[in-house]
Amino acid sequence: MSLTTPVPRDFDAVFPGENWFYYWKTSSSLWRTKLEASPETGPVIVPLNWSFHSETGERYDFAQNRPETNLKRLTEVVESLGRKTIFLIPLTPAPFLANGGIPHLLARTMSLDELKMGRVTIGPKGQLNKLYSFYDPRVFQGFTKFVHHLGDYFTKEGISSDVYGIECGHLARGQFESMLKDHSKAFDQAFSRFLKTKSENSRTESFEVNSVSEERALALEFQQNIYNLYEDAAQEGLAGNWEGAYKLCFLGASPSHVFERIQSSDTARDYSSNLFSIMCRDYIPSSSLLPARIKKGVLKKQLEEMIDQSYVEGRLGGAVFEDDLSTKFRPLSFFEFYEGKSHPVEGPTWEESGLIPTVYKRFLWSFKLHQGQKFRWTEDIGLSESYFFIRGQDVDDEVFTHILKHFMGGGLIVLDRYKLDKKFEQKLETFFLENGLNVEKVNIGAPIHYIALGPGRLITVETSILVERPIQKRMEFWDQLIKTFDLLYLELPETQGVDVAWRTRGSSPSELNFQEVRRLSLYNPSSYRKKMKIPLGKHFALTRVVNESQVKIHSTGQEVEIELLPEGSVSIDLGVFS
Amino acid sequence: MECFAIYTYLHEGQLNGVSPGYYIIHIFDDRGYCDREVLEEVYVESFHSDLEGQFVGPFDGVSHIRDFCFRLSTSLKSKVFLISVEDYNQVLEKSSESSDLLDEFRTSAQEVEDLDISSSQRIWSKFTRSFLK
Repeated sequence: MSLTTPVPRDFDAVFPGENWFYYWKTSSSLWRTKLEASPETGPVIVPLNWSFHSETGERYDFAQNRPETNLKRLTEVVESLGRKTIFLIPLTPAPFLANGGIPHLLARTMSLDELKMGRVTIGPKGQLNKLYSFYDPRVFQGFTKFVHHLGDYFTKEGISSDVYGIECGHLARGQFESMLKDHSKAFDQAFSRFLKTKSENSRTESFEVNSVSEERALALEFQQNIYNLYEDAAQEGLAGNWEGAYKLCFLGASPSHVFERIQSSDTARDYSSNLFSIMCRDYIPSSSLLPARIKKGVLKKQLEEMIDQSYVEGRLGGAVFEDDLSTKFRPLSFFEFYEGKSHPVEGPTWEESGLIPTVYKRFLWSFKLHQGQKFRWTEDIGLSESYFFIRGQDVDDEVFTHILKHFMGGGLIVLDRYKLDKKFEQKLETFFLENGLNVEKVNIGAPIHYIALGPGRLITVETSILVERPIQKRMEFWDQLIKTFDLLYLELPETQGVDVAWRTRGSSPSELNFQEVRRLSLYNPSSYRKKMKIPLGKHFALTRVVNESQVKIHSTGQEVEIELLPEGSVSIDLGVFS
Repeated sequence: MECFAIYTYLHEGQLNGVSPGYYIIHIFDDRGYCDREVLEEVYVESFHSDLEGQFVGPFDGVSHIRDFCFRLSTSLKSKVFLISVEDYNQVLEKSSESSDLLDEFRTSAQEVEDLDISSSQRIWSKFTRSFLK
C-alpha cells in the first residue's frame, strides 16, 4: 500500500514537456523510477543548469558533493532504459531557470527589454524567473569556465552524449526575439566599448553613427557578436560532444503573456496558434513554461502529436527524417519562404507583401518561413518538391549560385526581383541567353517571367509595383500566381475555430498505390460542436482514422463527414495518388 | 475589479512610429489586456486626439496619465494601479512568485479611483446583499 499520493506524470515538475528532464528537480535516487514511469520512448532531452553546478561561478560540482550533479550516472540510467541522452546548454538567458540560469553571485544586472522593463518569465508553478544580463563580462568569464569544466568532466567520465547549444527566445510580432536582446546598463556599457573599438579600427575612414536605424543595426551586429562568443566558448569547451546550436522558441515567454499569466487570464487557444506559428517558422517549440491548467485538452494533444519523438529526433540530429522517411510523419510544406540574412528581418517581409496571408488562406500552415537565413542548396533541398521563394534584397553571389544550382537540378524557385541588385539582373539575362532558355512573359498586375529547364522552374516576379497597393490587391496577385502551380492539395471547407495540421510521409511497401500519405489532424479547442464535410476528390483516399477523441466520423468514399465535439480531435490518413 | 497600468517616457526614435512622450505600455485587469477600444474611447474623450502606435498615449506628463486613469476608473468601474517602469522593476526585484508581484504592485503603485463610483458600488452591493438575505 502506498502512503503517498501518486503524482500524475503529466504534472510532474521533472518532465516539463517535449521529452525534457529536469535532473535537478528530483533526488538522483528517483531518476530511474521517474524515467521508467515515463511513457516516452525517444531521447531524453536534458537541459544543463549552470547555476546548479556552481553557485558562485568559481567552484564546480560534478558529483563531488551532490549526487544530483552526477551527469555520468544520469546518462547511465537513461542508457539502461534503452534511451539516448541529449544535453542542451543555454547560450542566452534561459527562461525556465531562476536568474536565467546564471549562478546567483553573477546575476547582478537585470536584463531589460526595449521599453527598459525587467525581463521575466513565469514558470509552470507561478515562480518568477528573472533574467539577468549576459553582457556583463563576469558572466561571460564564468560561462567560459563552466563549459571548460563541463567538457573536462565529460571527457574524464567518458560521457559521449550529444550536446546542443540553444538560443532561447519567443515570437514577437512574428519574428524570433532572442532572450539575449537587452537594453540594460551592462549592455549599454559593452556596446559603447564595441563602438569605440569599431571607431578605432576604422581610423582611416570616418566612423559615425548618424541615425537611430544605424545605431539599431550596430546594436544587432553587437548582439550577434556576443552570441557568437558564447557559442564559440561552448563549442570549444565541449568540442568532443558538440553538435551545433538551435533557436528554441518558448510558449508563454513574451511580456504580454507574462501579464496574462499573472492574472491567469491566458487560454490554451493563445498558445496553440503560437505553436503553429513557431513550427512553420522552423524553430523548435518548448512548452516548458506552461502550467498544467493550460497544458491539457486540445493543446496537450497538439503538443504530443506535433512535437513527437520523430520531430525531436529529426530536429536534433536529423537521423529520423533522413533515414526513415517512409515511416515517420513530418510537417507538410508546399512553400519555403526565405527572408533576411539576420534578425530582425528588414521589410518588406513576405507577410507584408501579402504572400503569407494568401498562402495561409488556402493552405493554412503548410509552409515554412526561414527568417534570417540565406537560401543555400543542400541535398535535401535538391530532393524537395516545394516552391522556394527568395527576395531580391537577400540575393548575394552565394545565394545567386545556389538559386541557379537548384533550378538546374530540377528545383522550383520564385525570385522577387524587387530590390535585386542590377548585377544579378544582368547575370540572369546572360544565363538565359547562354543556355538558350525561353523566357515567357506575362503581366497579372505585376510582371512575371517563367523559365523552364526540364522539371525545373524559375519564376521571377517584380513586386515593386505592388508595394503601394492595398493588401487585397497584393493578395489577388499572389493568389493568381499560386493557382498556376501544380499542387496536389485537398481543399478544406471553412474551418472557423478548428485548428488544422497537415503532415506527410512517404508510402510504405504495402501502400505502393500511393505516392505519399498525408495526415490531417483536426482539433476543436472551442466549447461548440464543429461539423465539416471534406470532399476527397480524385487524388485522395482515406486509409485510416487515428487519435480519435470526442469525435463522430462517417466516410462515404467520396467524402468524410466529421463532427468534432467540444475539445474533440482526430487525425485521418489520406493516401495521395496523381 | 482592479486594473494595473505601467507607464514610461519614450524618447525620439526609441521605437518605430512613436513620437516622444509618456505612454502607458501595459494595462491589464483580471480578464487580461484591457480592451483597446475602451482605452481609445476614454483617451479621445479626454484629449480629443487619437492614440498613437501600439501603446496608450502620448501624454504630456504624469498628471495627464493620472487624469486618464481616473476617467478609465469611472468607465471600467474599477481601481487603477499606476506605476512607472522604474518602480515596476523594483517591484520585480522584490518578488519571487507571480502572486507576490501583484501584491507588491498594489503596494508601490499610485491608486487611482473614482470614489463616487466605488461608493455607489458599495451601496449597491449592500443593497443586493440585504436583498439576497
